[in-house]
Amino acid sequence: MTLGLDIGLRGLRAAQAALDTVGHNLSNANTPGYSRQRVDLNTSSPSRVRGILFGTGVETDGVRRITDALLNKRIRTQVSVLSGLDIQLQGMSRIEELLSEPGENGLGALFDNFFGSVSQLSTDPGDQVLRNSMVQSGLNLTDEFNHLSSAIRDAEDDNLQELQFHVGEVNRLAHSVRELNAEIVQAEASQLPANDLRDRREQELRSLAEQVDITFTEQDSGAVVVRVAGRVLVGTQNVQEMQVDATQDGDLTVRIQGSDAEVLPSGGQIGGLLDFRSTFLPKLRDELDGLAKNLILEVNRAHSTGTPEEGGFTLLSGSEAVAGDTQAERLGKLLRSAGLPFSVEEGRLYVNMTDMESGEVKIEYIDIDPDRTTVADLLASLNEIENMNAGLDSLGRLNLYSESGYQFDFSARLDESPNDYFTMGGGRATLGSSSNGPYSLTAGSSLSIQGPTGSAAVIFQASDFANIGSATAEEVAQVINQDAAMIAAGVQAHAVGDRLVIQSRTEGSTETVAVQGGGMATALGFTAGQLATGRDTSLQVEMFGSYNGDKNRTLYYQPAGDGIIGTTPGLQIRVVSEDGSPVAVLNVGEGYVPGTRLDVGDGVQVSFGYGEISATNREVFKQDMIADSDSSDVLVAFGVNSFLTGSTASTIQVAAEIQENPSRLSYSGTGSSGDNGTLLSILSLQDTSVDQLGLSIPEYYSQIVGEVGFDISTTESAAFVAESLVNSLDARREEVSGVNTDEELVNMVRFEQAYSASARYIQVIQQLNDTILSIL
Amino acid sequence: MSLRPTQSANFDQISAGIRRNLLALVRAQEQVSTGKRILRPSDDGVGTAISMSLTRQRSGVEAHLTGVHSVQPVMATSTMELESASDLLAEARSLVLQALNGTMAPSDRAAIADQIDQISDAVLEVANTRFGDRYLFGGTETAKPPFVEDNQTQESYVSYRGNNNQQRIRIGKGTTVDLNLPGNQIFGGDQFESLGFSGQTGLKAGDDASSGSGYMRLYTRTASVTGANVAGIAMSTAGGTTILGSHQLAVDGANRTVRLGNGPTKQIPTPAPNNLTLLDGDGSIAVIDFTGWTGAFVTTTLVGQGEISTDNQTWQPMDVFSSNVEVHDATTGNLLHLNARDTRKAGQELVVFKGATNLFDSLRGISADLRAMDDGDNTPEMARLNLRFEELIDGHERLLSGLGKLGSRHQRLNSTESRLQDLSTQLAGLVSEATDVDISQAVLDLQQAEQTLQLTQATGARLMQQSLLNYLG
Repeated sequence: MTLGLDIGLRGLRAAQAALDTVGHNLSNANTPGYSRQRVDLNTSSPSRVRGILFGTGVETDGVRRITDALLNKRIRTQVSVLSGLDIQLQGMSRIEELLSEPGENGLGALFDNFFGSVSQLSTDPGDQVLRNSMVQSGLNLTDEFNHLSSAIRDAEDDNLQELQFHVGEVNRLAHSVRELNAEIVQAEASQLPANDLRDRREQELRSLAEQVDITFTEQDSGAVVVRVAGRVLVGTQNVQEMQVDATQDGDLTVRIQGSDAEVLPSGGQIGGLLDFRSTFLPKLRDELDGLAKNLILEVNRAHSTGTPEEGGFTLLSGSEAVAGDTQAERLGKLLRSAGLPFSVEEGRLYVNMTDMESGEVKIEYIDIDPDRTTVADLLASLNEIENMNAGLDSLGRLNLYSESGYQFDFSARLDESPNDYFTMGGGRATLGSSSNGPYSLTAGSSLSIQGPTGSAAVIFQASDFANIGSATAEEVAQVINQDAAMIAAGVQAHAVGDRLVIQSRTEGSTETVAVQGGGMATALGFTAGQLATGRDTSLQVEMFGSYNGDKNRTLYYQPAGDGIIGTTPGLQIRVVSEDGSPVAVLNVGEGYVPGTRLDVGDGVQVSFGYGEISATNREVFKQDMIADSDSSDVLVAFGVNSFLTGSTASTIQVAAEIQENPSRLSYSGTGSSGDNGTLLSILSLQDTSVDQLGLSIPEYYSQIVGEVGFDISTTESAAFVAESLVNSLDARREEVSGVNTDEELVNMVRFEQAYSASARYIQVIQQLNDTILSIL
Repeated sequence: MSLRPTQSANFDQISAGIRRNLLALVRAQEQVSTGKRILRPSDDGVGTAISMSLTRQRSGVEAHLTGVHSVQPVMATSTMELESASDLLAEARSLVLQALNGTMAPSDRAAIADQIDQISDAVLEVANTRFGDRYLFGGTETAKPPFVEDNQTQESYVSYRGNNNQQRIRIGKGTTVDLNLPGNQIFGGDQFESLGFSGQTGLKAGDDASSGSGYMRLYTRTASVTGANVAGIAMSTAGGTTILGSHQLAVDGANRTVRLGNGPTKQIPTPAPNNLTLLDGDGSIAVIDFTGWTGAFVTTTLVGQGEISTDNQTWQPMDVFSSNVEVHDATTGNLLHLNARDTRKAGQELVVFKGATNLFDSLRGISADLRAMDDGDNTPEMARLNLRFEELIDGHERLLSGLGKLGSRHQRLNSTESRLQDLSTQLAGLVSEATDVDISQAVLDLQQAEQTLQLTQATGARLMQQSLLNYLG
């Protein structure tokens, strides 16, 4: 009888437990991370009564969580991937918004406005309103560069703050996991099922996986050890906290307590933030900086060699400083390593010096090799130019000023009277060398010349030359011109390009110059006994037009015969380039009307006045055809006469003096007031590809924007894929562990009935008891 | 594993479905309301780059178009002004023609000279035309007047102060169009072609070439005469002799007549004078002193050696048998080589560097010559006038050819304008194609998104209500 009551009681208890579980399940149906539980029922152990085994009813073994550990692991991995992508996407979208492309407010439209205003100004370069508008649109452009650059910096700052927040989250979750570990270990040690604790821990681990990609292993005790990038975050006993350190220049390191080694998570929000910071942002910043740098370089290349309304400069200061603590240190530096933001190339700088009173322009040049020319050499060469003064200010910036009555500029002018020293057809007796320099001279050897007022021999010393074995025409001319005996003999020398020319100092048909001999006569391309006589008239040579070739050239003009311009039948002048290749043959003999222009090519014409020329005496003059008057980029490097200053997107600026005074805009390419050469060069940047970028400047920008868009849409679709994966995995988890309320309701009805049945059974046993008792 | 759906999964799915479909609806709505397919770079990275590139090309074209528009008035002004200058020159030509043909009273000539002066000033004004602040005919030297009056040796010249370059604007990639023509190519010749002589002295171009520009006045005079001292006759010391080169002198002792070259035979008065002026057929004069003449027959050759000057002040010897006399004017830099062999008499010669004179010098020269004419012998002036008239015609033609060049540039600008307009429209179409949405497609998408959303909501609402609870009493 007691057995029956026991059975009934057990049944009641089991139904009660099952109903409790149904209730727990139903009320947690919407709790995130909850795994449905089930009561495990078993028959209780049979009891032997009178040798017969009787069942003793039902027994609850315990409450079990229905979970799939492997599935949970996959979910966590995908959650890490998804949250990493999501947070990157957020950052990228913020940047995308900042670019505001395609639209009327983006950098692209500002480029268009800038070039539009340059084009407008080029139609009337003297117009002040248009000039102001070009400066203004330049400012708008540089402001947007600065804005974008600072927005990227802000994004970096935000990124750091977010990282710090998420690292805090990681540590909070880690502590929570450790506490749950302890409770689970304690509960399970006393054989209590820790279902709900495990669910909570599972949930915390998922949150942790959202922050950073983790791996964990479960110990036998039930505790888990969590690792980030192989390093223990949550151990069995304690938590190794994660920390993020930022250096001054924005470099970040994520570490985990107990080790100095950097931890590089690849997933989760922290992984995403780090990835965004180390790939997307720097790439965009580098690209924008490259864009700004090339814009500055190309615009300044055009502008630095231009001239403003006044026609030239009396004072110019560079905006870039030579690095160094002392003036001596700065002066000693090679241009290659002078610490200037733009590099100096091997090339030539032309300097024009205008005498304001006479309007006469002298064109000089300086050859620059950044690996050999020091800052001091450059200053010395500049100071050598007549009426020019150059120096470094106390900060190491280049200062240039001309003496009063003179203006200088760096424009690509055509030398209108190239026969400066009348080394062809001049009044002075002239003898040219038969060969171009450099000349191989021997120290101590001499050249003797009979001049109009005596004869003299000059002795060449090794100290006069950089390398006497390959002496330049310039050096030889200098030695001769400084020789007192030569001066007394009335002899002077010139370097016509690479060629040495000897002249009498005085003009007229009574003057003569003859090479007498000397050891070096042959080496210098002269023959002993050679004699030239002066003339009463000098040949006037004039150049017209503007050179439209694309590289700098030096043309040598040399007579092909002896005779009189416009008179001698068949007289020709040959034009050859610096390498000796023929450029043109000019017919200046009988039938040529002196003063008539003859085409030399590339937009340049030459005219010869009346005069006598001699091939026998190897008369020659040269013409520099200048396409780029600063092929060395030395002006850009020192920031001399710049339109834009700075060197990156954050520092790009319209030069302060042009902002203050737009008439400093050097729009003219030739020094004349109505020329717009500089503007046309700037305009060509619109559609000419730039060496370093491989594309034109605005095209490169479109490319940057396109890449940002492409990056975002790629990340977006990756996030979409990850999200659907998480969703389908979550659905799978729901299938396994989720609560189906209908199922629970069915169970509820089932156990309710079981409970009723057990109760009824107890009632029956009780009636049995009563029956027996009534017999008594 | 058997499928085991749960309510919570169902709810999640419903809300995810609604979210997704709502997003699609919002995107479709955004496209319809903005009419743009690409609103942000991530909508289509490649498309963004293409559309930006097209937009840039279009604004480049627009900029070129604005440029063309802003220089068209400049061109119009240039051509208009040159047309008026051409009218003035036509008038000047007819005036000079009048002066050359008619026999006029000096007062009439002065009136013409006044008119010519006015024309000259008016043409000078045209040459210094400004558009806004810039001078149109100074090449790229637009800030200073290109033609200015210079005073050299008390004579006023107009000289060109501009340069030989041309203002250009950009009308396309690597394409520029020249705007103006340097004034020296319109108003003044800059290319010396040949020498012209007024033909008063018989000087011609010499063996060697000459170089220079403008006009040059040459003065020749007789420095010495050889061959006269025969039979008591001699050159008069009174001066006035203008013969150059060889002239026959024949004295007929019987008739007391004398004849110079093929000039008129002249009676030698009694007593024989010391300054008998003899005229040769070519107009040269020899003044002979007959006081020592005893009545003998004389046949001799007078050889006049000359001197030449550019300013009538400093003289240099001129070998009348030389075919290459060099004359150099230091002030202008002009260098002449002259053939003196055909000179017969001393006098003034006007030399012109054809092709290298400016209109102003011609006009001023004309009025000066007109004023210089008097009631007497005007042959030298007339000869000069003729020479200058030729130059005026040449100058006028040069101006017309300049006008033609400007006209064709203007035309090129106009055709460029319409080409650029076409291009701009075309690019606008391409930009629209790249970024704009196909509106009918977008509306269709919008409707579809709307329907899908409604369907999701409807089915969701139905599904959510399903529960066993509805049936448990």
